[in-house]
Amino acid sequence: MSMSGKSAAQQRVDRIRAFNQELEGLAHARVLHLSAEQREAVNAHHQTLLEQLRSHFDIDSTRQEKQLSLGMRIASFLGALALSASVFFLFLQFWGTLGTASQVAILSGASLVTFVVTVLVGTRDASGYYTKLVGLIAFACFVLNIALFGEIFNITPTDNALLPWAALALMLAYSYDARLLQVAGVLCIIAFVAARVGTWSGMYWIHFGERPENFFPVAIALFFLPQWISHERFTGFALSYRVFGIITLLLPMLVLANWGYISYLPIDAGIIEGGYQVAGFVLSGAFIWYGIRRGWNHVVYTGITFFVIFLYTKFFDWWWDVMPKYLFFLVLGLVAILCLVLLKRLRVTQQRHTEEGRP
Amino acid sequence: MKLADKLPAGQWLVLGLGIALIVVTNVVALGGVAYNRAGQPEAVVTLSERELGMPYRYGMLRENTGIQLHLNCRIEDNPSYTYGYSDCSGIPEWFDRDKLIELGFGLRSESEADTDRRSYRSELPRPVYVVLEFDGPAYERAVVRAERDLAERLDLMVSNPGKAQFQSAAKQAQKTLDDERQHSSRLFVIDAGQDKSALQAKYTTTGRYIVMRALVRPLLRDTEQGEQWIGFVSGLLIDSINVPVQYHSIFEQFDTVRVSDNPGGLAPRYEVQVAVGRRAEPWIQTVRKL
Repeated sequence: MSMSGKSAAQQRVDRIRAFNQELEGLAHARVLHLSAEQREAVNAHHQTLLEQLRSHFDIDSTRQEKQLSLGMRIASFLGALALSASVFFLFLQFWGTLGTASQVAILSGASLVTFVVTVLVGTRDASGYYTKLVGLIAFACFVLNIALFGEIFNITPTDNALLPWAALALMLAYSYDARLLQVAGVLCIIAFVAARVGTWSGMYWIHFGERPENFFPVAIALFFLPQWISHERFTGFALSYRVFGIITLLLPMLVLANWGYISYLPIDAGIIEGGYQVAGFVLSGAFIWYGIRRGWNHVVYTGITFFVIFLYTKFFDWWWDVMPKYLFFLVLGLVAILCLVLLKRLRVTQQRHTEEGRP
Repeated sequence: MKLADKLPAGQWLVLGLGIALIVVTNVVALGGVAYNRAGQPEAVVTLSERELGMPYRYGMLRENTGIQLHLNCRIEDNPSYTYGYSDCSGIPEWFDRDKLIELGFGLRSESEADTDRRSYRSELPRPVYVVLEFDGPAYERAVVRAERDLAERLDLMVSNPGKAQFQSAAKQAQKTLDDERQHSSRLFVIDAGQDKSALQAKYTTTGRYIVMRALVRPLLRDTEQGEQWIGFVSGLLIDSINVPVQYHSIFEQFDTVRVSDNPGGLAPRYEVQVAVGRRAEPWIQTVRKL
């Protein structure tokens, strides 16, 4: 089997379906007509391939199956959230009636048991929905385990707790292709690294968000991680890393572009705000360009979103007080149209390059 | 079929690593607790409901059956002292520029810092050790202040007969003094440092001092002498203490009204012996109903 993962398998199935639809269209338009023999050979090849893929992965062969899969993913996500909340409130309801030893045993035991159950379900659940659901509960139990140890034994809060949480979330995410757990792990890592960077200046870790520059190192690492380590086998993992990398970089810049006085930089707040406004525009544009160049729609869309937010924030600063509101919104509308025109031109240029065989 | 037959080799690795991660994390967390509580506690103090308040129960927390007592400690503010204010935050008189530098804050001179930059005007909080004094000189000064305030108000009332605002002010001052004597916390933050041992060596009276960790930050404040750096205590890192289940029955008899909130004759209802260990983390040793 040449397929390296469910994601690649699903892409192949989608291509086969698109090929068959296009072939029908071409035959209908009398452009291409395969002989019965050729058609049979193609069908047999596709059928064998689909059966092989189905035997290895829980893939959607039709559009209806795909729609149902989306519904199942949503149900699995909501179910996991609700069950995790249920575990939390269940413990809250009864922990006051338990001795300390019982509390420790139940909290540690719940982490271990839910984790083992996740692994066992993972071996039987080809679709992965139940595994992801139980996996999220295992992660919630582990977070609850350590957080409530802090409450029970009056432990000083520490950012070190974020590391094992991230480790378990990512271990489950990579083992069972669970993107929601990957996001949970990424958020823990963002918080941990930003907190550590913050503590270098002597601040208490929990205040890491008050100096937005703390987020820059982890943002850069997240964006480039999928380029250093291939994530082809995992559905949407590379996308999550890049999107979170961009958000973790540009959101703090947006904050600093408006409140320069919270920066580490020992210069005038006005210069800092101006600098981060320019940096925000340049980097948003760079992400759009890089996304188009690499064919990464998620990078393009995230870049565009931040570019527009930076632009509108500036418009608000400059004109909200001085312009009549109809004129202000008219300018916003005209700028949106200008963006459309520019993106369309970019699209045409891209199409021309594609036709000429250039990237 | 045995489990060994069901699990592929890769899954055994995941299982092993995951269990190891959970076990090691639990052992490290509990090891820290054991280390904190090993041997003799570094300090033991007996506090009452005035210093350890009943928890508020609101919203979804109504379902919480655990009990955590809130540590009410106070700052001797100067000049804006507030009676009974007990969230462990404020600007103590002793917390000046020299103390800030001793705690590791690299302060700029006031003239250099005189810009529009908030980062100059208030650096982010840092964790330090603070000394909490129970029922000591700081509390005595608070009572004296309240007595003096009452005396001044009574004088004003006598010299302004029939004027309601003076009667009301005197009545309020009497209530404040009553609160100070019967209800307000007697636990005060009186010093801070980076070296826990040095603080423990300086404050040695048994049963009066405990050293815990708190957050502090410098603030640039306008004073009569111009702008000056002053220290601000933001709060304790551990501000509530969990009650072991064997003492829950004592608290379940009480409603959740705090003695500090409802001083209408309500006297402290319990006494708690609190120990502080090697990591400056507290725990409850015993609880006694009064």
